[in-house]
Amino acid sequence: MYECYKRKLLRINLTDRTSKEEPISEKMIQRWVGGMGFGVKLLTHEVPPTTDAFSPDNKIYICVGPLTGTIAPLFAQTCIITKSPLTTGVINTYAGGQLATAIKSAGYDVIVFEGKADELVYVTLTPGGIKFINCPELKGKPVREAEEYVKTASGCEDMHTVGIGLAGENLIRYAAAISETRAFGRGGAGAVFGSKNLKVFGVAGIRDIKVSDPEGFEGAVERTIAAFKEDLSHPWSLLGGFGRIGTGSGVALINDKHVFATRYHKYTSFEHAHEIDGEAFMQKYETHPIGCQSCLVHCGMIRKPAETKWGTIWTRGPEYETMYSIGSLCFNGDSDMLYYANDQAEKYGMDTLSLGVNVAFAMECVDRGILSKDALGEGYILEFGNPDATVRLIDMIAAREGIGDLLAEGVKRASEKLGRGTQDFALQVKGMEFAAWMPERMRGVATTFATANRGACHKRAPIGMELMEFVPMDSTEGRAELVAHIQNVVNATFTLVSCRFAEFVLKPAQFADLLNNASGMNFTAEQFEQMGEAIWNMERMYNLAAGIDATQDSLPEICFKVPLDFPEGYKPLTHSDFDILIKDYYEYRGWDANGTPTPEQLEKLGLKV
Amino acid sequence: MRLVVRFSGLFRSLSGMKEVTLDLREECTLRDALQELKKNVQPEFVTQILIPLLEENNTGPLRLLVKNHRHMHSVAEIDVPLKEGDTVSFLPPMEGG
Repeated sequence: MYECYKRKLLRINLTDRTSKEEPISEKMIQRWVGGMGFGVKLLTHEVPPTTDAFSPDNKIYICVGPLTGTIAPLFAQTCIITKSPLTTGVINTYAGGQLATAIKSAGYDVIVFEGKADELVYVTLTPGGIKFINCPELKGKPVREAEEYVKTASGCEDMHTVGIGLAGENLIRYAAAISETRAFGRGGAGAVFGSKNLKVFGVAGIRDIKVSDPEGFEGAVERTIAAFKEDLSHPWSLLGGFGRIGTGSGVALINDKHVFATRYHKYTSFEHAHEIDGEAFMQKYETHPIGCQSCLVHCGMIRKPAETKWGTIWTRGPEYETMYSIGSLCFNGDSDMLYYANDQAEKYGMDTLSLGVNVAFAMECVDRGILSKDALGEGYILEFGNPDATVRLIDMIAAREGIGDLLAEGVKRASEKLGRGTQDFALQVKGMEFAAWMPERMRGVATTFATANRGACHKRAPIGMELMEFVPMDSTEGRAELVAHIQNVVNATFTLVSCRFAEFVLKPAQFADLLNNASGMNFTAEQFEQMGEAIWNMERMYNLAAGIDATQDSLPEICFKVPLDFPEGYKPLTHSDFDILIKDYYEYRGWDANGTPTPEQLEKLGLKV
Repeated sequence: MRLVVRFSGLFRSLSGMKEVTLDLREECTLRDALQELKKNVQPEFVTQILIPLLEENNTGPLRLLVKNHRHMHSVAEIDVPLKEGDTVSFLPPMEGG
């Protein structure tokens, strides 16, 4: 049993520069499986809910899963769990690449960073041991440069890394941790790295990854590969589109369906969408698709170096969500700027979603006479559709310079400070800035943004169901069940640290099939999904204790205004519709009218009251 | 009547065009229009998209077909007569999170 696990956790204390191994119990494995399950269980029991996210008492849990490093396709991601400086609740965030396999090869299922180093350090974990190395020379360095420095200095060719840039060091609340161009984007994990003076973590090991039933596992993997190949064989395959063009392949549809938030939700479609979509990038910049280990999709679009007016750079992406946040939301139709801004975000280590919303928020404040158009200094006009202003403001945010210091706190805190009605249009829930998609148009998105434990996050939303109109996007009917189901299932798949795209093809039974053959456990599809539900409730209880109550299951007032080009034949979101969505959701979840899980519900899920 | 059909993503390279304007008789259906479309696009688009949709009643290609900014979910819906001003596009599918 459990051969696919290393059954060990490594605690790395940055304050006293020590480390300690601990066993992971059978009970823990059976109950929480791995990845997000391990991380949420550990954080909610070890970090008191009222802990300041930037306190040394906060911890960073870097988790891998039972399928990490195996031949199963689309399980190469790494999960980071910490207390978010943006939402103050628990955050789970993911990135692809090679880091997860390196961690497992080093012999661990979880790496925990605790305490705070007295100065900027990088930490390496190799077969030769663990090292804490002061690195004042890396202060302010771009992530990519810092990662390369650590690999070279360590002399370890197989090392994989995760690190931060200037934004993490400057405690930008939406700073990302970056692993070799892949971003742990949402929720400010990079800022927590920064608060601990942790610049880079590098890890290498000797690969020795087993499964409990090799023959059975091979069969399960073959079935999984067959399912992906069948999907990819069709020209109408979603993942096929991602592999050819990247996630930006969907912009044309989203724009056509009037759900492409434009000029700060004033419009639902963007006349310049075709200039910044995936196809435009493929035509304009030489591109090479890359994939994570064992991946069949290869959605990562590495672009060759290109000239822009701001300099010659290369980047990976941008992803669809960035085409929205720094593109349409800011009314930017300049692909060169988007290309450059995407690189800025990686270099500084910032979540492009929150970043774009903050830039757009500043532009909206100028439109409404709350901020000055001269706020960026001489030679710049802060206004929608101005690429130079966008590039300049991103630099200012990363450096916490001028107005950038205000926006580095995120739109929730910025609007609380600015007042003057800005909270009504600050695009955030629980402090987390909006992902793409429009609650005004899609009721499932409205429900998800309002209720998600991460805040206004798209990661567990029934977007395809609504966008492709398998259900009417403007109906409240059945939305609670739809949303709760996907929240539960995706949480469960994140215990395996699955790529989010896997669930677009595989059913819960197929995930359980892989898990069971790898681990020797015997999960049914229902048990697997219920584990996801238990994690959802565990996060909810923690967030409630952190002070994130039901009043924050809400949307800003701007979501109840009707965009100027709202399409005919659809109903915009109303307050009464929204009240129904939340009431239905609480009832379906087995929560009381205050959004608190009832004792009966907790007991049913096997959680302590 | 005239109908503009637009293509995006893979369907642009499969069809060999960004858009095409079809001259159609009044009251014709979308099925008639797609039959007419066969004469205009590259053979790959006919074999990979139009034949599965029109002759094999495969609902997969319906995921790509957007009429007046809406998806259809039954092949029978392509038998509804078109109206002047209708828009039809072949667009790659999308999911969110």
